[in-house]
Amino acid sequence: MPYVPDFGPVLRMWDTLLLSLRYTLLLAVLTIVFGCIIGLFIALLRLSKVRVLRFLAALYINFFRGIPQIVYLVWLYFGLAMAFGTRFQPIPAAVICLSSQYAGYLAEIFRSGIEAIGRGQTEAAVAMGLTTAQTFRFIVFPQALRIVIPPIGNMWVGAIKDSSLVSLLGVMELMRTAQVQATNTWRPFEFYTATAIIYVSLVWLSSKGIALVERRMQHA
Amino acid sequence: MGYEFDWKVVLDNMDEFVLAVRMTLVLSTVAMLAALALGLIFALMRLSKSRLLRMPAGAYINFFQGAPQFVLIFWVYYGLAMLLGVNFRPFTAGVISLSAQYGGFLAEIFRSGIQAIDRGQREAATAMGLTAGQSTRYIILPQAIRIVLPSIGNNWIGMIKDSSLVSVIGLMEIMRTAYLNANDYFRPFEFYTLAALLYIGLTFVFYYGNQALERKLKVG
Repeated sequence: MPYVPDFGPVLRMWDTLLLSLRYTLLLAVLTIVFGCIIGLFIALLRLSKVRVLRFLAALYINFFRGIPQIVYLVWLYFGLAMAFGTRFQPIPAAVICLSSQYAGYLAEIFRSGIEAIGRGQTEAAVAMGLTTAQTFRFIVFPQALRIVIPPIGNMWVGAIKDSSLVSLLGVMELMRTAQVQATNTWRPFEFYTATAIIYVSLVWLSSKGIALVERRMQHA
Repeated sequence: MGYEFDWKVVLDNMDEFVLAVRMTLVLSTVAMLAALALGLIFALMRLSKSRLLRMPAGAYINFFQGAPQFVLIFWVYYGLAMLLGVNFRPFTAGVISLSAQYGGFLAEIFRSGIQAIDRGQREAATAMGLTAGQSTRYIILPQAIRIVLPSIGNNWIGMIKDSSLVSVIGLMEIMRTAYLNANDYFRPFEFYTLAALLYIGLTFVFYYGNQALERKLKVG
């Protein structure tokens, strides 16, 4: 007997699904915010004159770009917790995990953004008497920001998608909520289809938003 | 209370992990080959003059770039299986969902590679009497492939990392093997550390391989 899709249960639980997005968005926002803070720091280390710092930063970046998210999440939440006898709360653990990993990617983004600003600018600033810190803060950073906004936008999209992994730690974001509902109602096809559509819509909206920001920056 | 690390357990079970690494590589290879085929097809569709081919290809690419792989795996293994009334093996479901998404990524990569080839090449081919199909096959694609090979290499690394997600439906690749051992021996830290190191090792090898490939293609 062929399977007849029935989206009734999905529609009934629609508000529950949408409400779970607050965790998805919370995770994504915190990931990007902390990721940017840590990432900027790592990028500056990577560009440092001190060789050891450069090497350590490169190590950090390559390490966190080399492990799959799921391995890192599980390692931190179950492995590290057992080793140090601490009990992580799921959401802080997820944020620590995701933001430290995204910091790796964001560090590379910031680095290429900073390096893209011509040396001439830096030299002119020094000639005008600005310190290194002042040069960075008033000359390099504002221009680099315009370059990095689109790639950071892509990172945001990645953060939304990667938040689905946090379902493994029990956080009731969209994926976990859908999983629970799918299991309860025996309607995996309907619920996972709806979940995929919601994620794709979020991604699509984010892309449009980023494009808007990009366009407005052209006129600034 | 201190935690005593026990690495002997890990070493005792290394033979399982050899098989696990093999499974990861086999899964990634099969999925990548399927993705390459899908990617090329959808790229050509996307570049077609016919709207009937362009639009579905565009929709496919956007959808599978926006959906999280984690969700796709569940959708295929539980949802699609229920819809079609089949029982997927974890390997099959993994290949389907991974290749569906990476087919989307590669389609965009192929498309930009093809578009990067000078118009003059196509005009010259037409002037020499080749049909559109022939010029694509013998002139454009060979050159485009050389341009996109490094990007494909990056996606290969991503594929290796995303293969870890297929562990959730029970495929005995690295992550799943680590999970089962961690549970059997109550040693999550040790086994997940091993898993992380294995993935880093793999990505390391392929990363530098990709760099070498890139260098070779540039000079030639």
